[in-house]
Amino acid sequence: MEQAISIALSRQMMLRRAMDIVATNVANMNTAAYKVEAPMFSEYMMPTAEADDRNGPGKTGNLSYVLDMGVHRDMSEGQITQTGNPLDLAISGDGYFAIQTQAGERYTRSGHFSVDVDGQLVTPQGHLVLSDAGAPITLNPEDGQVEISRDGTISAGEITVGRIGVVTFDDPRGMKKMGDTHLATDEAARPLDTPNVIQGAIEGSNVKSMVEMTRMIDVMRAYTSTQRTINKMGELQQSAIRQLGREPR
Amino acid sequence: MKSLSIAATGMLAQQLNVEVISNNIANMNTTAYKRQRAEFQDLIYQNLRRVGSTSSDAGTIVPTGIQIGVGVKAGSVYRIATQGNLTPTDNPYDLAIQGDGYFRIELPSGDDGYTRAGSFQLNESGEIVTADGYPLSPSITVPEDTRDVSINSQGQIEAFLDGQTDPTVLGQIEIVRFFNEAGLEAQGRSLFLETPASGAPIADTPGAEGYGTLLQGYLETSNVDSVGEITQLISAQRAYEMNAKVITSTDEMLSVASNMR
Repeated sequence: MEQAISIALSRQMMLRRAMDIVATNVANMNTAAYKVEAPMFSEYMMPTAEADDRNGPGKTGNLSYVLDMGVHRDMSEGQITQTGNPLDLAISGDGYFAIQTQAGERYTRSGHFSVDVDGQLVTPQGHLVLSDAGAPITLNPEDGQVEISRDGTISAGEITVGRIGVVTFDDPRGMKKMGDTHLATDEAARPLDTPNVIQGAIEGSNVKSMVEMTRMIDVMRAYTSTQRTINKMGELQQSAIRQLGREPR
Repeated sequence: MKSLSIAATGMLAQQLNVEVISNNIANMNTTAYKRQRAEFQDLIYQNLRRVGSTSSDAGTIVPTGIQIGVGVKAGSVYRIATQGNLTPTDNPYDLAIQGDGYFRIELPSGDDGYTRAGSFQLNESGEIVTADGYPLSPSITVPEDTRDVSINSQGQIEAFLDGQTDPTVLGQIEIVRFFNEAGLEAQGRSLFLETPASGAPIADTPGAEGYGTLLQGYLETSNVDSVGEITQLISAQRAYEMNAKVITSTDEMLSVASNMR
């Protein structure tokens, strides 16, 4: 019976974590290029210490606990919204922009860029956006209007400045989220030959509000009903103590 | 539970979003107003089970770890510097810039300010000034006996004086550009100031390579798209509500836990 309570407790702990994940998704509903996440649970088989009659004589049974094994990231594309800003870039399909930070190379799909005082293309935090050759991209405002073609080629007026680096990975789910919509990975980046870069647009998050709300209700109800199980188990224990512990007459 | 504070960051972010949208809507009819947009980013993540860590002595690794975020923050609020529409006003001193560039204005402090709102007037001494009375820099004075003023697309001002058939050249309007236009500091009253992020102004005549041209008798409207703003407002409001719902649900879960016994 004590096991029943701890099994329920293992479920509740997972549900709390699931609620945190739902809350993060909802909070990031309007974050550019945010990818929605969902918890993945697995069963943890706990062998019981003693044989009991449920499994037949001499056999040990297993108790099934719940364990969170990972967070699944939905890599589907967010909605692409036009912003009209010439340095806002969205990637349609596969790929990440490479940016240079103090901590090493980071990758992002959030393409809200601007130029700094030296004319270099930077993220809102001031990190350099890298070209396909891994070098910073420098724009000169006197060259004229910046045009970025589908394959990422940047031209200012009649001058071709370079090509924005769009990279891909064999295992994109192995990437760690670092905040600021930056991702990090140990895997070597592979340049994408035919990226699909859209100028003047930003990729939105792929959070589906309906799904998150139903998931939230789901988590809450599951939590409440697990609580009921715990309460019942508690009552059972209480009545056992009351009944069995009665003084013999 | 973290979801309480996560949802709180979400509500704060949406509140900022609504503030930015309402400022855009309020300035819908402000001359040369550039709409703003709030951009959000996720906050740092907590690793509960690190991706890529070894999961057995056979060398298998965890393919997807457990990273739980702690919410959202505003990354930046930036101006979208697309061209506004041009509306005719028939006022000879109303100037619209078609393309890139800012008018340079001399502020009372002696510093330079920059604006695209070209609703100029004359002051008591005939100087071309903004609606606030700040003179255009370099300053141009229109003589008293002027019949008509013509400003061409390259910014040259000519006056037709009484009793003369040929126009007199009064001066040349210069416009400036910045390396990073988004780095300008908004001062209100449609004025911007130079910052280290914007870089120093680069002045030239209108119509030069990369610079816009002037149009006399027109004003640039704001580039606020009302339909776009309203749909943004709806989505921000709904997102706010959903974050509030997360708080309610979390509260309910917590109350279940505290009413256990």
